[in-house]
Amino acid sequence: MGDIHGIPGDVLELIFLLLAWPAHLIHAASTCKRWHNIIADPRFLSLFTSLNARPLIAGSYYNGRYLQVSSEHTRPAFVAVSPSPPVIDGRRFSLDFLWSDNVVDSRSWKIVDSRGSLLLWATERYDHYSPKWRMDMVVCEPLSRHYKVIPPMVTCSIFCRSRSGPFLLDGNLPGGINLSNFRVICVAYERHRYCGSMFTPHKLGGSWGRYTMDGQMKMRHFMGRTRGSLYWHAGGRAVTAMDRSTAELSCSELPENMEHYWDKAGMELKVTTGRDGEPRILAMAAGGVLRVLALPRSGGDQWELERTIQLSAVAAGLPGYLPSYFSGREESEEVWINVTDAAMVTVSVSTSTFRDFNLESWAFRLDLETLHAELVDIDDGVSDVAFPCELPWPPSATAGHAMDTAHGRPGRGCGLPWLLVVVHDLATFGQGVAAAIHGLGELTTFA
Amino acid sequence: MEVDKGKGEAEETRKVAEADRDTVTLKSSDGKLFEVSKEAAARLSTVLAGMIAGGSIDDNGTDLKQIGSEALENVVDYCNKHANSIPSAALISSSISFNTAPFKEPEEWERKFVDRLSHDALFDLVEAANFLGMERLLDVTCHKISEMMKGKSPDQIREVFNIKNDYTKEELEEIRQELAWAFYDD
Repeated sequence: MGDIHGIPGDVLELIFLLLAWPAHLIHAASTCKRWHNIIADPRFLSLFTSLNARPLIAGSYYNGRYLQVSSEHTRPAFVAVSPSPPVIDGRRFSLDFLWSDNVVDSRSWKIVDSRGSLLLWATERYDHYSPKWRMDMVVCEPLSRHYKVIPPMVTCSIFCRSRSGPFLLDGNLPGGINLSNFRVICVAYERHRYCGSMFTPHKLGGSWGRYTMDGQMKMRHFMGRTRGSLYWHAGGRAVTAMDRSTAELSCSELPENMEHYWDKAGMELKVTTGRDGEPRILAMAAGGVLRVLALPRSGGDQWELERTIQLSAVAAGLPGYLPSYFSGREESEEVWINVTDAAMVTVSVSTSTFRDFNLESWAFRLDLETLHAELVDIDDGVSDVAFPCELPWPPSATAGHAMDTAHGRPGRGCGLPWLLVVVHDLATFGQGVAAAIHGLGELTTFA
Repeated sequence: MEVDKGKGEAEETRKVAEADRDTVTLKSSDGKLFEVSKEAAARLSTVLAGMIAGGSIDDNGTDLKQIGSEALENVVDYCNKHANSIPSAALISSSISFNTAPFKEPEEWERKFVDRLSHDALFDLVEAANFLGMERLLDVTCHKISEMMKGKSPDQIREVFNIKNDYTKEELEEIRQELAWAFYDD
């Protein structure tokens, strides 16, 4: 009577689903084995993941003001999503292990992509008096404090002009992305066609290889990314997307009656993700008209106009705003849209006066869904891009099954810790590989 | 016109009354009797709806041997309160039915209803709601219990729910180390 032990397992399941945050779930699983066995059931975990997608994002990393080279230079840092009561210890996401091991230097390296609980870092070098171009990369998982040094990509400097990337993709194995199962891809225009260079890790480090793509697919201007895909404007009405799990390409079409927005030189299209996780294309037109395009909810590959935002209307109340900014009359004024987070952009206006060639800049942050506008520092406006970091737990259901069979580990009900299976593998992997890679030496030359 | 209408309504009521009563009597495991609106019982509990439709309702008190009087009193109280509150369409169709529909936050009166319960009474009510197939009441009580777990350390959860720790020290240490980000160093 009146005892939580009398509550049947399927009702406990319902209670645990409502915990919503992985940390709460882990605490519950740590109280007793009966609860652990309910929570560690792959069926339960996949249900939890599908019902609680949002809380799986722990927070985001920001590069900080890397444009401002000064003594006050700030290092890239983590900002936690903070519900109440707090569920994550933000200190666990610190990047100090990278600085203290001298893996990356926070001045010249920057975060260029994130996926799952991994961050991709890169730094480029041009050699003087040589046509060579070189990019060094590191993939790290802040939570486990492990990292992997990727052999540098060295190629001729022409390559980098048409390059987009590097980007993080899921690995070849099922079970989602982790330090032993990921890929990095760069795309470039070479010898009259688009081709990819793909890095795949293996036990003794990993290697770069050529990734052949459908010759029909053009990837002219990188527009942006969502959790699911990377997007390029292929020219005209064509959009090319790469699935971030499978690396497969697909194409879609921009609306028919709006050609003049993207045919005009300099009108760059951008991709952002809505708070619903779905992609949006942003098209700027003269006169400060920002159009938001979405794919139809019912499916299909024709982008449709979702909303039209008059920038002069949303910015009018901000300090420093001048009506001339979005009038479209001044040749000397340029407006940029920079995607910084889900449904968030910064809008920057630059004015150069002929008299003194000084560039004056003004920027504000705009929420594309609420239309809330806020003045920002121009440097922050450009560099303040959020790289979301997801929790490595719970593992996806497929990961669970794969790990179970691959390692002959018992599933639920056999004592401890199915909970830990994925993380265990990662830990042993990380130590081995980091050591191996350091020993590999430099210059695995690409192409 | 008005006379006709009144007459019609009266006939209607008499017909309903003749067919059956508009309440049902429920009997707890310890033999106490409770009356509850038939409409509310049928709407909120799939089990009672089935019994009413199947004619297995006993006018002298339908035996619910699995439910104690305190829990049954709370069930009946909930049904009556639910009948009195303005039922929004969303609320009625919001039962989570384990897995599919998104969970709807409890309404203010539902929150108050579960907040005043002791732990023991709450656990008994969860079991009663589960037994009677009262999905909304189950949602509301489960929500309350999940709120009691949130933000607590494993030790605190064990204390609140009176759970015996059957892990070894080594096993717990392993969890804490591997999933360190989920734990605060106190």
